[in-house]
This record gives sequence, C-alpha cells and structure tokens, in this order.
Amino acid sequence: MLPKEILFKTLRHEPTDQVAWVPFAGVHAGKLTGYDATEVLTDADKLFESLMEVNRLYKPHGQPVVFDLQLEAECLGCDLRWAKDGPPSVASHPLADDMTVPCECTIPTPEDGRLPLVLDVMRRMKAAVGDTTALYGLICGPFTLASHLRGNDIFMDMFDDEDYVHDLLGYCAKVAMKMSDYMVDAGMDVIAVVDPLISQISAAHFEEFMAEPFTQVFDHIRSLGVFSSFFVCGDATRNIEVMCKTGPDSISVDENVDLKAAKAVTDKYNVCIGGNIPLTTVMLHGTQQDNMKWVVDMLDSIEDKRNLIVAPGCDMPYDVPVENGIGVAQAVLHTDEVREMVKNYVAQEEDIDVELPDYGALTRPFVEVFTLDPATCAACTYMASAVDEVKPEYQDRVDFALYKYTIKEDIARCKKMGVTNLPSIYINGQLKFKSIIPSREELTAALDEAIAALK
Amino acid sequence: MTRLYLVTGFLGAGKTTFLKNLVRCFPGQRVALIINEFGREGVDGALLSDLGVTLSEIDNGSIFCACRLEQFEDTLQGTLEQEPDVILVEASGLSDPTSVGRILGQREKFANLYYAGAICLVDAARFHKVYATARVCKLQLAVADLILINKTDLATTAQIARIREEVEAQRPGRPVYETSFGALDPAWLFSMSPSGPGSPSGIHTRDITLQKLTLSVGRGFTPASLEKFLAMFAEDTYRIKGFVPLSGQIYLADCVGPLVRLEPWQGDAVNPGRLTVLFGNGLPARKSIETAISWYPECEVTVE
Repeated sequence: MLPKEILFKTLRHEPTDQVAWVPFAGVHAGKLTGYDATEVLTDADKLFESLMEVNRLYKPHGQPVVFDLQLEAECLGCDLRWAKDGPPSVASHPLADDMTVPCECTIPTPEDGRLPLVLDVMRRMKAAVGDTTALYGLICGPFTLASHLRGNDIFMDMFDDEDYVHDLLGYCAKVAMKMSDYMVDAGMDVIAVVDPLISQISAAHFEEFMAEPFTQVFDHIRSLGVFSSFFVCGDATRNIEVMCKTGPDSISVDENVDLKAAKAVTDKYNVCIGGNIPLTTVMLHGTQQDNMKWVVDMLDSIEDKRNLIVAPGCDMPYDVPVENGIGVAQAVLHTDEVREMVKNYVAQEEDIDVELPDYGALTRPFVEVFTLDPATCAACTYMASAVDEVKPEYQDRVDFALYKYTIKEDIARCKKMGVTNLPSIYINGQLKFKSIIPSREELTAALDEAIAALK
Repeated sequence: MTRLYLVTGFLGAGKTTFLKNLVRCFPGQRVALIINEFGREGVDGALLSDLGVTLSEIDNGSIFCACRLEQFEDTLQGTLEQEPDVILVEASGLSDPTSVGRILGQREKFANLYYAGAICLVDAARFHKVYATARVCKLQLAVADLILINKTDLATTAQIARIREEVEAQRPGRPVYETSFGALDPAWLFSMSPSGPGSPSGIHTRDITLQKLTLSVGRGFTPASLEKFLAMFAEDTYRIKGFVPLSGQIYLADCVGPLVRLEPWQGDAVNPGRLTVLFGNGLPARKSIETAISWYPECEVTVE
C-alpha cells in the first residue's frame, strides 16, 4: 500500500496494518541540507530541496510543506522578527491600538506575502512526491491569528467586548478558509489548522468563542474534499473534548497531553489523534536509542491503533539530530525489529564480547558502515549504497565492512565503539559521516585522505 | 554565586517598565537581562548600556515551553559563563512558569546559580479580566514569591483590596505590595524567599465556602499518568494531599493550587490510596474531577 494511503485510511478511521507517521519537519528540514531557518522559509529552491530530503530520509506517510504560523500575519501587516534556528515571530500587531475588524477585502490573495513561494513549493512537492506522500498545508488558526493582529489584548477583549472578539475571530476564520482554498488548489491532501493558543483558555471559553469559527473552518475543509487536522501545543488536556466537537478529522497534541488517555476521549468522537514525541527531552537531547524506545513503548501502550498517528509533539526543533528522526521513522515503520534492537541493546552487554580491530596498526584503510538495517531503513540504504558505489574503485586498497543493528554481535560492536548515530561511516575507527549521506566526491576525498595518511 | 530573579505577569501588567526600575536596584553589580519577547515599548538600549547591563532575547514562544526551553537553557548557561552578580529573566506574558524550580534546580547544568524567586506583576485594573480568561495568570501567581499589584493609579481602593485578598488567598505568606508605574523599593526584594509551594494554612479556616472530598485511587496509574490526572483538576482546588501506592512504591501527592507534586515516599503512609481534596469559593472542582475520572476509567477512582 502506498504510504499516503496508510495515512488516508487512518484519517478515514479505518484499521491499517501500519501506524501512520508524519514528521513535523518545518525549519528542521533545513538542517538536513545545511540551510538555516530563514533560508528555508524565504527561498523556494532551498525549501523544496530540504523537503525532498525529509521525504528521502524519514520516509513519511505525510509531511507538512511549510510550518510557519506567521505567513498570514505577515500578509496582513505584522512585522516579523527572523531567526536562524526557528520560524519568525510577530513583532508588531496592527490592531493593537485599533479595535476594528478588518474588511473582508483585506483577506490575503495568492499574490500576497510569501504565499507565491509557499504555493509554488506545494505544487512542486505535489509533482515530485504527491503520488506516494500525503502533503499537509498548515494554516494559522483563527485564535492565534487574532492574537497576531490584536496582540494579547485579545484576552482582555474576551472579557470586555465579546462581540468584537466574535467578529474578529469570524474574520480570521474567513482568512483560514481562503488559505485552505489556495492550499487545496496547490495539491494539499490535509489542511492542518494550527492554533497553539488554544491551550491558554478554558473549555468554557473555547465553547463560547472558538466552537463556531473552528467548526466553520473544518466544515469548509471537508467541503473541499480533503482531510483536516487541529494542531495545538501546550497543555490542551482540558480542551481535547471541545476540540473534537468542532469536527476535525484528526487532532495533534504535544507531550503535555497523556496520549493514551486522550485517545480514549478522541476515539469516542471518532477523531484521530497524533503525537506526541517529546521535542526537547527525547528528539533534541535524547539518543537514537531513546527515540526508538519512546516510539516502541508508546505504540505498545496503545492497544487499539486505529485512529493513531505518530508525530512529534509540534514543529521539530531545528537542531534535532538527523539520526533521531531516522530512528523514529524506523521504529514506526519496522516496530517489531526495533523492539528487538532496543531489547538487545540492553541485553547484549553480558552476552557477547566482540573484538575491535587495532585501528592504529592497520596497514590499509578500513571503512565500516554502521546501519540500522539497509533493507528497511531508507537512510541506511542510501548510506550503504554510497559506499557500494565507490567500492569497485577502491577495494584493492581499502577494506570495507557493513554492520546491521538487527544483529546482536553488531549491536555489541556499536556499543563497544561508542557508535550512537545510525547510519554512519567510520574510517579507521573514526566517525567520518553521520546520518547525512555523503556525496561521491566527499566520500572519495575521505578515502584518498585515509590512503595518503597510511603511506 | 549568581542570583536569578524571574519576572512574570500577564501581558500589559507592566513588566517592561518594572524591569527598567529593577535593573537600577543593583548598583555596582554586574547585571544580565534575559528577555522573553519584547513588550511594545522594549527596554531602552541606552539605559542598559549606561548601567552596563547585558541583554539576551528569546523570541517566538515562552521560555518554559517545550519548543523554547532548549534556547533558554543555552542562553542561561552562556550568561552564567560571564559570571554576572544578578540575572533578571523576564518571562513572556503567556508563560506557564510552574516548571521554573525544576529547570533552575539542575545543578549539573547551572552550578553557581541561586534562584532568588519569582516576582509576579498583577495589573490592578485588569486583574479579574485576565484571570478569568487566561489560564496562565493562575499559574504565574502559583510560583510567585513576591507579588506587586501594579497600576494602582488606574483602580479604585475597593478593587485593590479585593485583588489583595484574592492574591493572598492563593499565595498565603508571600509579600504583596501595591505600586504604580512599576516602581519598587529595593528592600522588597529582601522579603522574598523561594521556598516552593506556599503553606496553605489560613486558606480555609475562615472560608465558609470551603469544601472537602476524598478520592479513592485504585490501581492502574503510573506515576506519570497520576500526575496528568491530578493536573486535570488541581487548578480548581486549593490543595490535594495523600499517599498513593504506584508501581510497587508509595508516593506522596502534595499539590497546592495548580502546582502538582508527586514524590516517592519512604516513611509511614497514612491511608494509602486516598487523596484529600480541598476546594471552594466557586471553584468548579467537582466537575473537573468528574472529567478527569472519565479520562482514566481503568484506574478506578471514586469520590467518597
């Protein structure tokens, strides 16, 4: 079955053989290609190249094309403050001193702000991977957009002037619906309404102010013939139920929410739930092992896997080590093998004693490729092929070895050598390339250097 | 040893103006500022350079949010390397600072750091509005060690008295001062002592709206899921306390307001598996407890 079909079936609430996997690689996509956050959010070619790398390495069933909640705000006159390691932030609020509801004639057109760039990349992604991968178009939720425009006075307005808040949210919902139109036209399969501020209000305020605009937006997305998702972050536990009542096909939560308990609630409403790999403690700071273990444990804790999507808690931090993304992908796509790997990693120490070569005494370079499993892990396949490609040219001067994390002896070897990033290439016992696949030129240069060093 | 003060308060409470006054309270000392999102005015760069204050800035989300915590920790470590005498951290108005103790308590990351406490600014004119709509206001007060009712020039005496009463009920024993234009007497800083959740004594003895119930907690919880369960209704209570056997070990649950604490317990445990919950003053605790129980049906929680 095509990867995107697994996600579509999940969003249709049908059982699947595999759990759907959607890496929220927003600015993190740039990490894979060496571009910073500002570059990937302002340069169509760099964004496209980076998203293709996400697709290649993380093998997603679905992936967002851009994760920037400031797109609409920028079109509507908010100044942005740019960063190298994260999306921009809103630095000014055009309605801060002016309690008006903007005219509908101001709703962004596809020519405004960075929309031409975003829609162009969406079309290119659709053409390049749309046959196999579901594409997510992310729009800024009405509440977060209203706060971008009005500033945090919106919280006071909810007390002082309820009608104004209703009207402003109504305008923002219209913006959201228009954005959905543009993105669906550009080929998006899922529209995600991203509204992190929802966790800041009570369920009662949600029902009073948000229920209507969000229901409108989700009804509209459904009428366009695509799927919808409602992304929140922060502790939205108390709002999960009222969010379900607005009718999204799925919701996505972060680590503040107990996913297992929340799923029982979302299942009652037949809404899918996605999440919630911890962004900092696991994805950013954890090892590849930690990431694989977290996913396996989560999957094992949830009995009914219908309606479940594995995803990071929110937009992945820029600097998430690539091998952690690869580890998560492997754990979702090949759970049984990874469960064994994790178990063997803990168990192997006392069982197996491997002998490492005396790297200092080698007479010719020794290239060792460490992989999870080239048969199943995309990044490992590419890493192994990169080496296979140069082998004929070098095999009379260089020794090669390939290790797989599915084999106990190889796990023991990884542990003894301190290999924590898979896939990776070591030359003479030294880490040369990790996670990101070297080009032929980079690899041959490293081999030539190793040969010269031994002369 | 570097002292760190955290400044919290909902947007519009006057944090930036207050900060301009606060940086002047440490003459002759090296002061570093970490600001989490500028207010509309921003801190005057000239003022800072006159005072020799260094400034770092963290945008796009609260420093206590999972998405920005990393950047905050890195910035703090970098600042500590410069060995300032004082670090002032202004949290974004939407921050939930309840994890501040845990974050700053990481000795291995932040050696030589003394957490002097959190100063929470309360907007006298708009307190009730923001308190009613923004959940973080309660959380910001929950970790406050010094509370300043600011902008008193914009409120009536009766309003101010009512705010004081409510703030003192939530943070008994913590110093509360009234001010305007973010002015402060440096001596107020000496009245702070960061000692974790405040003692609830005095909350309930005179409160005829006070109600109490006991929760019987069955098996099925892990420490993590019990924490989540308690967090679902803790903010609607004054206090939750009791011992619970979890995963072969006794834990003490001791929550004050929205601050949930669950720790392994070595001593004798009275009435294990039963939690006493105190609430009142119109807090919708019963409803939120009911919802929380429905989230964890397999854990057999009952209200006695």
